[in-house]
Amino acid sequence: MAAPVMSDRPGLNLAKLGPLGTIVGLIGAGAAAAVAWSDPKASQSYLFAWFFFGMMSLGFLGFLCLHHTVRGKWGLPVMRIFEAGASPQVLIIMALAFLPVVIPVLSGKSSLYEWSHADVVANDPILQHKAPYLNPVFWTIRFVLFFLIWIGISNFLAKSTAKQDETGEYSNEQRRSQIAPPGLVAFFVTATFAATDWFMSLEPHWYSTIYGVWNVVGAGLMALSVTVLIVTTNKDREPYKGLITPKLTKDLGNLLFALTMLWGYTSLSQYLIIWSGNIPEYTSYFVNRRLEGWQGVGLALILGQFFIPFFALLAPRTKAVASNLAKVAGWILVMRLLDSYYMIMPSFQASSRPTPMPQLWDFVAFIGVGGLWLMGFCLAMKSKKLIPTYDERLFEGDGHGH
Amino acid sequence: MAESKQKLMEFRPLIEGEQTFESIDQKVADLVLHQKGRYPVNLKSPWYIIMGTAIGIFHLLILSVGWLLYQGIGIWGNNVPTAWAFDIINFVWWIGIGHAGTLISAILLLMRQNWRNSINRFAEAMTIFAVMCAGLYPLLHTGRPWVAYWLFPLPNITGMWPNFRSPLMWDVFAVSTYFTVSALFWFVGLIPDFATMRDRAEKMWIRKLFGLLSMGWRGASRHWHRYEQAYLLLAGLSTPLVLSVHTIVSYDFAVSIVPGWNVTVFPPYFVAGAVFAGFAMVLLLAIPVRKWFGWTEIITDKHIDWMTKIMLATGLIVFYGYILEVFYGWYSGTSVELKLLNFRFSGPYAWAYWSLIFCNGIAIQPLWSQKNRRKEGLIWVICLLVSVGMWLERFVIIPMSLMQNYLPSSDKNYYPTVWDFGMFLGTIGMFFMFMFLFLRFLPVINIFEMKDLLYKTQGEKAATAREKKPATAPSGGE
Repeated sequence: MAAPVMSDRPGLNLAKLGPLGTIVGLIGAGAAAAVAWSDPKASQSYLFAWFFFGMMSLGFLGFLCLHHTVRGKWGLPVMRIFEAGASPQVLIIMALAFLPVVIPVLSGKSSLYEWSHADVVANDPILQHKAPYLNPVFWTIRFVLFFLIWIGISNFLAKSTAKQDETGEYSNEQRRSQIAPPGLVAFFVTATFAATDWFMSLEPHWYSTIYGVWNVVGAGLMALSVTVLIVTTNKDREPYKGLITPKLTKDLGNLLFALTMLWGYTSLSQYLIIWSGNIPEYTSYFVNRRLEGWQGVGLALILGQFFIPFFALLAPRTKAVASNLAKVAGWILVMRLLDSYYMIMPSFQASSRPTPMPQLWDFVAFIGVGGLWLMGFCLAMKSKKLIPTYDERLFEGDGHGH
Repeated sequence: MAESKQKLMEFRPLIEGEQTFESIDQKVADLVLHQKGRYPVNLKSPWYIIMGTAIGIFHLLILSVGWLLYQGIGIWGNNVPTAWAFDIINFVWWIGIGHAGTLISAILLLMRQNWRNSINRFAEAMTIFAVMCAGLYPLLHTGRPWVAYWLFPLPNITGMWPNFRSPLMWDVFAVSTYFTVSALFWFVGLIPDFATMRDRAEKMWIRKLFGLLSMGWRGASRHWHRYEQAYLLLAGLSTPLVLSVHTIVSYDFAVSIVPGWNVTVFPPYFVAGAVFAGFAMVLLLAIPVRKWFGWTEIITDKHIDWMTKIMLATGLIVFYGYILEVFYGWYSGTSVELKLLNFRFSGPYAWAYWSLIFCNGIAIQPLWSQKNRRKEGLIWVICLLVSVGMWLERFVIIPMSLMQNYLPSSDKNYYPTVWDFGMFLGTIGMFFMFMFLFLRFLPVINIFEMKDLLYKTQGEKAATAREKKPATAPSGGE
């Protein structure tokens, strides 16, 4: 192992942020949800906040399944962060936090989803056609089903690594490698349909087949950025001391780089195909995002979410120095926030969001739902060792690369 | 526990048996240098049979192309509205097959996956021959291949200027770049092995031939340094090409407004399909070849296992694409999309659609089990089904979408002619002909990278074995 860096910083204890998250989350999200009941604008803010943290949790779940599928060495030091980010605690809290969106849909009073109103559907042949899929009851059943599947996968994987840490039984690892690949497939399919249900259907006439892939890539970027931020800013604290090597940050940086390119690739493909087809049914998404200042946000994203991190991560120096990588990861996270706003808000543009000007409830809901997410994350962290001890590869000298 | 671990695929070594630098040289180089005798197993008869058949089928290509040039593309079944049919299907199919080579040689190199070492050259050769087959189709579909250079933006007095907004134009650049970079990559990787061949050759003219090809390689550290730099640079150049070539192929369709083509998921779905088809073809060839050449210790069960896993993963992505096409086709609620779905499910070519679902979606499922991933016969059959399935996929996407239009009065069925099939079979013959020539006359496995891997994995052992047998100084490896 590398020589420990002398430092007086105490060991890292992520769980201690729990009470803060709980207080902020309950007050903020509670207030936003209560106002959202009667105020459509606040309910939009709430959905945007949920999108950011909900999709981020899914990103963690995707990485968790991926890690146990490919079993790369790079995943070991950060696996527990993936586990906590997609822990049953986080997922249950995020599911409960989605209830303020679900209940109005079920009672036919949702200001978010046009298709949930019987009278609107009655006058719209396309929505009538979609009604067997887009109807409040089936939509809610799917919501429950998706979360049950996700919680099941994450619960199994987290319990299994904890058990292997205790007993050292290799059979746990074998079992995980049998469950994780189908888990990854199930994750991808459910995440695609979840994104369709919750976010694509905000504009119920519009559709794009790449939407699921695009969202999963975005979610992965958020989860990985948070992971990178945690490990790089705490690299000289126990238990990360000596484990966050330039090799690891290079691997994580390359992964961020790959996801940044994938995000650019999927975004460009979607735009190019819809733009060149120029069929009114499919262009509505971009038409809504080109009006009244929203186009500025779109341009900022092209520059900020693709070009800036792309060139920053192209340089090996960025990836070898932890503090540099932390800056890029933080930047990507901010861009994901802006992109989340850009993906959700213009869907309501016609009625209430003429310009990309944030409003009070956007902030309250974001901090609130973020607090709830933090609460789940810390709850999960409480009972975890940050570093898994079962895999000897983690403590070996550098055996990979050439 | 340690013993039970040994039985598992993941703990098995990448090179099996007691290998030394000398034994690797022998296994690979001597196949080429000693054409008469010394073959480990029954190489000769299968080689002659396949080569003979391939040359026979290749004549079909010559005949089809000759008749095509004489008569014009009217001999094909293409019509209006189905102006694109076998020519584009086969183009996309062949280009896709080539992708595994680039993925193995470039992406796996950058991802530091050592297991690529014994299969990369083989797969790269496949890429080059597949792209050659692919290139024939659009070239001949222009109708006047002798003026194909008009596709390039050359200054001229006729006022011909390509339309840069057309993805067909992008294709010209993407495919020609792809071919150039792949060929360079292949050749650069061969140089140190050409030197080994030169050093081992007994006949003067063979020594001179390989001497010329090795471009003065002496294995000096400066040579190795430059080589490593060039190789890494070419890998960096090839990596985006894996994505871009098939992405642009998918744009050929997706940027139009044809129902069934204007699909946003096409780019990643086409790329995954290409890698899927490519790995199927690599396995289809590698499974019998490693037996014939006695290479089961170099192309091990572990390699087969890994390639099968990649094939399964990309196959699942493709299947995900099929689900999306159907779901969003229905979800769109537009009449043309629904009409197309109906045509695929129950039209005159419904058998093609359902066979495609079977070949690419259902048939690969046994590969989830590790037991099945060791049954070479089963894998071989699945790979064959996948190759058929990927061809059917392009048939379903290309002509079957064109047969159905916004205006029902312009719907018309498409029927291929005997010349369509003749040319398709002919390129298969050409591909196998080149492939089997390569298998017999060039070092099919990367000798020096295998030595390097041997040194890295069993350092001590390889070194002592070298001391015992200093007969041939390896020209690579250190």
